[in-house]
Amino acid sequence: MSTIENISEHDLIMPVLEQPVKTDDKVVNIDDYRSKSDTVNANRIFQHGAGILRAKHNRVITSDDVFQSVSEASQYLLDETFQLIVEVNDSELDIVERSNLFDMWKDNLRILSRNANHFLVSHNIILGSLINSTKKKDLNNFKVEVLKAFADATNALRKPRLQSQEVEPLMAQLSQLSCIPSTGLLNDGLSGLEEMNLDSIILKFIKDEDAK
Amino acid sequence: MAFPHTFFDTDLFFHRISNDPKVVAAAGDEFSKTRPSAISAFTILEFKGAYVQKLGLLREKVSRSDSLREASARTENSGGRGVKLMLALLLKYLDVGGFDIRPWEEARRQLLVHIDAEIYASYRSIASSVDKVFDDFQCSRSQEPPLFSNTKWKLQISNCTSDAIPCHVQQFLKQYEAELISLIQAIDSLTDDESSRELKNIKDIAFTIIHSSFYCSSKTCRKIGDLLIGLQSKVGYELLTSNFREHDPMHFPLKYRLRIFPLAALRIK
Repeated sequence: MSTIENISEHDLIMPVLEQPVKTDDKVVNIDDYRSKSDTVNANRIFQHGAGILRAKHNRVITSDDVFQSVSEASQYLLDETFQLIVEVNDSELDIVERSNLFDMWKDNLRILSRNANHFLVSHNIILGSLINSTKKKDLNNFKVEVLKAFADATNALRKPRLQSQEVEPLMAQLSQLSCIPSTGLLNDGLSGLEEMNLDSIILKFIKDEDAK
Repeated sequence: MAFPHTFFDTDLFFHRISNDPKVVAAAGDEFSKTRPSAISAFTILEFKGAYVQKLGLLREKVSRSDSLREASARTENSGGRGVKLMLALLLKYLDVGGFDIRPWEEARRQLLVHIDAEIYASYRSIASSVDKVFDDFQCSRSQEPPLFSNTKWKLQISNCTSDAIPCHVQQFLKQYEAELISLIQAIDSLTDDESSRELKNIKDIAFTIIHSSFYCSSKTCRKIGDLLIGLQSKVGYELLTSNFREHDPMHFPLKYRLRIFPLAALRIK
């Protein structure tokens, strides 16, 4: 009898279909990011990001405005999103401040999911997993190691081309530290009433879509 | 019994991602408390075919559509009712935090982010949810994970048409000839109400195995998933399943221990 002790996760998970375009790897990891020469750069990004955040908070800038110049605005938002989770990991900040930054980081993830038009499947996997992992949760639900894993994953999103083999270690780290819940799209065994309710959800959104 | 593992049938993975919170919680409890746990490699294939491939179809329809109305029509017309309901469930999931369908370009991006994450995470969760994967008949297809390129997925499950495929399902089934003879008698004794299409398929294929005329090709194995999973579970302690209809008549003649997940009692009425 043969057994697969390890149809291991590594074997199961997604080899590369094609080689993505090689790009400058200017993305840093969280520890590097917080050290020495990056400090100036971090401050610059954060100051700019804070400006966008303040505007967002005051509802002055819409996501459309942010993405008038897609690549530049996307990059700012990505940098800012990373900076937010870096700050969440800063134990010198008080808990209220960190909690607010965490919520802002979550908001940014959602904005990215709608606006980052250069994202590939590999970005989507990481971004969707971050959103699902943190849905209906706040800072208190996560240990320091998980928050650092969130920072690593957010950092990876900043790469214009994220290679598929880069996804696996990040996802392994995320799923090991934090449950990534399923979106739960299975619909076997629904009652007639449940199906009707779901139909009405689609109709409601189609109506919203048509109401221009 | 060679191993102390409880085998999880494929349906337990579906219950874990069901829409019924009580079912999800009970299935989740089983995964966290039942140790050591195992699956047949065939479960990976079944899950991919029944869920992951549908997600891929949903992704394709959404990505090609210029509006929700079009996406809804596309999913229903070529994906079927199940895929359209997946779209509805995704909209419901996103609407909890407030979901704006306009502009569609943005809404579509948001939908695709969640579909891509679900394809990856749901497939990944199968093997990582249990302590061991048993693959006594060396199912090649179960070892073919979803692949992705920059903008699309490859989720096909190829037909097994070549002798070069190192699958040993024929030898695997042949070693249980005595049990299969008992199984045929047990299925024959069922009334029409007690039987099912899958049990009839299983009986027909068991008959060909006993008479040495069995040749597994194309998708034959996928018609007898319950038989393969039931037989595989013989190396473990028990099989946990909600599929009473197929496994109850099979477990005694095939000599595997059965534990029923009480789906009907859990479901919200």
